[in-house]
Amino acid sequence: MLHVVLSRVAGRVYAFPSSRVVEVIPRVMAQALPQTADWVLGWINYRGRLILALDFSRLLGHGACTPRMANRILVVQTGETAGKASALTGVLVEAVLGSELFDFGDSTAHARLAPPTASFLTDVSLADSEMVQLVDPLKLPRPFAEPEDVSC
Amino acid sequence: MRNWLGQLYQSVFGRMLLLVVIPTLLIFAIIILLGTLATFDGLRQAAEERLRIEVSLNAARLEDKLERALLSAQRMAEAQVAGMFGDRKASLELARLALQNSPEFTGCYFGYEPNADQQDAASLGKLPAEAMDEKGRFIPYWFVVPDGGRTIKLEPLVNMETSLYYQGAKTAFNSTHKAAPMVTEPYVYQDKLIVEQVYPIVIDGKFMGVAGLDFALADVETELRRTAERDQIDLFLISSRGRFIAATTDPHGEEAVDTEGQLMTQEVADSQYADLFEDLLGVRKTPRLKCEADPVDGDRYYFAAASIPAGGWTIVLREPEAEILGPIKRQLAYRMSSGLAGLAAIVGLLLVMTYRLGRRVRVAAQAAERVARGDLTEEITPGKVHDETGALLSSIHRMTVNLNNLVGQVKQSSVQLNSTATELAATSRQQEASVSTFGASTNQIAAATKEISATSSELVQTMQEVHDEAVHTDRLATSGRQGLQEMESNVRGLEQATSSIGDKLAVIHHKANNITGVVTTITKVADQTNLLSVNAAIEAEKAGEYGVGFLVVSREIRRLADQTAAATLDIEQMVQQMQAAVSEGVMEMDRFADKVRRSVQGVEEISRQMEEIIERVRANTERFERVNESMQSQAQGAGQISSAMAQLTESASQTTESISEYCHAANDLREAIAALQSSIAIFQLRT
Repeated sequence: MLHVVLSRVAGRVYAFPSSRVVEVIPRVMAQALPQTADWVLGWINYRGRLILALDFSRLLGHGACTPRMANRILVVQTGETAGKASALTGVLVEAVLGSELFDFGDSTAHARLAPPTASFLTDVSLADSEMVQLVDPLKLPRPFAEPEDVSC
Repeated sequence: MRNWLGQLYQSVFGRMLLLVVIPTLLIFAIIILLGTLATFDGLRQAAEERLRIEVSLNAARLEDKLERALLSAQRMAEAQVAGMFGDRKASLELARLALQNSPEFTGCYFGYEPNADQQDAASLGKLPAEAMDEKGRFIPYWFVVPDGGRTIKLEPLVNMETSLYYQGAKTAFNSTHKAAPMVTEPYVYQDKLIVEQVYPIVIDGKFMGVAGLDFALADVETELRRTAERDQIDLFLISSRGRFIAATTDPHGEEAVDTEGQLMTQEVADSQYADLFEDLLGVRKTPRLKCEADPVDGDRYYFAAASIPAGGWTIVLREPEAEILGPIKRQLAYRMSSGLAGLAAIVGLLLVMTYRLGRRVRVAAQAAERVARGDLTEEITPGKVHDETGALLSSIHRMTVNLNNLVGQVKQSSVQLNSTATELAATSRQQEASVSTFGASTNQIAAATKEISATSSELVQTMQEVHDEAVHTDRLATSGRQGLQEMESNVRGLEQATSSIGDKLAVIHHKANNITGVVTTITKVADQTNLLSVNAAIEAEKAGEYGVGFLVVSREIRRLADQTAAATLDIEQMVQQMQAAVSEGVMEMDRFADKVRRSVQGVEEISRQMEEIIERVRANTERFERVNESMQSQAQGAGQISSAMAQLTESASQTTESISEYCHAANDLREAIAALQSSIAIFQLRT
């Protein structure tokens, strides 16, 4: 059983492990970065730290995330740096549905339903005939090597 | 010939030639000829006069010599008369001195009558024997010895009783008893040709002897030859008895050895000049002149003769005619040739001028002829001469240009006039038709005016009825105005109520906006709550076993927040519907209020119009009365119009006649233009 934060992007549900989610914050304006991929939103100010924010909808190959009041940014840990301030990344989703305990251990659901290039998509589970895809934040793509700690 | 002269006379050049050049030539030729002849005559007369003067001068010179000799003889005779007679010594000395002091004399002498002084016998032996004859008669003769010098010698006179010098003088005195000088015929004495000048010694009226002088003619001849040589003439000196005393034509000097044929001492009558000199000899007051051929050499000479009264001599001057007339003829020939050259130059200039004048006049005449034919195409060059002919050519040039312009304008004008005349004719026909129509119309109008007159009477009656209707209308309008005033007050009340409802709706709209703000706030709070519950659930899950209770609470909070959000969504929808309804109500109320306001304005306008209708109807009542009177006047006016229309009809018929005449005039104008065009058609213009 894994406790995840459920989010909706382009009509589908994606689950982020709650252990990797630092905080859910409302959508804020990002400082755009030139000459980068279109799924990179830019820098955002997260409690006095500059972290990189990604548009998960574009990352999945859909259009830009539709602006709504329910849009959220999941601040997730994207690096294993124990003892030090871990690397954080903002992931923009259309809405956060809540947090649940999900079992991704079922063999029928172990099939990888994503191409090797999208390695951050891992296991899929069925809940009430709706598919929930687990997202591994540690495998989210990085547009460039970011500094270990960037402060405002 | 006559035709040729006629043609020549027809041209300016020919006329100038016949009337100016040839007459000028003839007149000048005659003037030159006559002038030359007159000049020749004058010069010839002058030359002849010169000859006369010259011969007179020579005669006077000889006369002077003879006179002086005669005067000397006279003085000697007068000395004898004065007391010397008988003083033979003194007389002898006087004669010697007279000869010695006068070189022109070759001899000097006294000749007494035998014993005239009663001293013949006493004188013998006392005086030189050469001064007396053997009887002692005093006859001394002093003479110059002919040896070239002036040696004087004394001899007794000879041949006294036979010679002219003594016996002639004595005979002359005895015949006239008057002492007069006498010159003897020339004769040769001691190889010299001499003449003697003798004066008689008369005492108490008795011839006592003579005193005389010998005058050597050789000196005279020498002087004559000198004169002749100087003046290139020949001189003949002829005695009173017609003997040649001297002739410069005779051989002279060494040539004189052969004396045959020489004229000196020869009788004129015996010489070849007998006929020629016949009328020249003799004592005359004026010189004689003649021009004849010389009988000796056959050439023509002028012969001028003058008398020398002292000796009864005649001097004849001969000069060749060629010498006299030659210079005159040469001068005249020079004058005549220069005159003729001048005349030829004048005639030449006249001919050139006449030819040029004629040519320019011919050019002008040809240009004028072309203009007369109507040919205006050719251009005339005026040229550079600025005299009258140049002015004529320039004038013709200007005339041609002006005519060109004029005829061109006339042609254009005639075309325009033609179209104008056609338009005039058409217009006049239209006017004719119009006047005919006008006449018919006037007839109709006359009939109509009669109908108007009748209708006016009916109108008077109708107007009365209209007046009654107007009074009734006035009453009804007054009643209607009162009803309208009531309706206006009701509508104003409605307008106020509408305005009040609008205000209330605006308040509701404002409140609804406030509700929307509250709902927005609740929505934001619900959203924050939802976010807070999610983060709380995450944090609770991270807390593990300790966070299980808090996880349940956070889920409940999130459910409440979701219900709150759903409720606020419903409220928001309801408020939006209410706001839409209120906005629509406000707009409806605005439209209704606007309609009410327009209704109030309409009612006011209707009320005002009703007021105006009432005033008009009242005013019309008075006007209808005035109209009634006017209708009656109108009936009378219609009668007057009818009579005026009759006059108008008559005027229309007169106008018809005038237009007909006008039409005729337009046709005449067109015919005149056609004639003008045919007249100017002969002109050919430059393009």
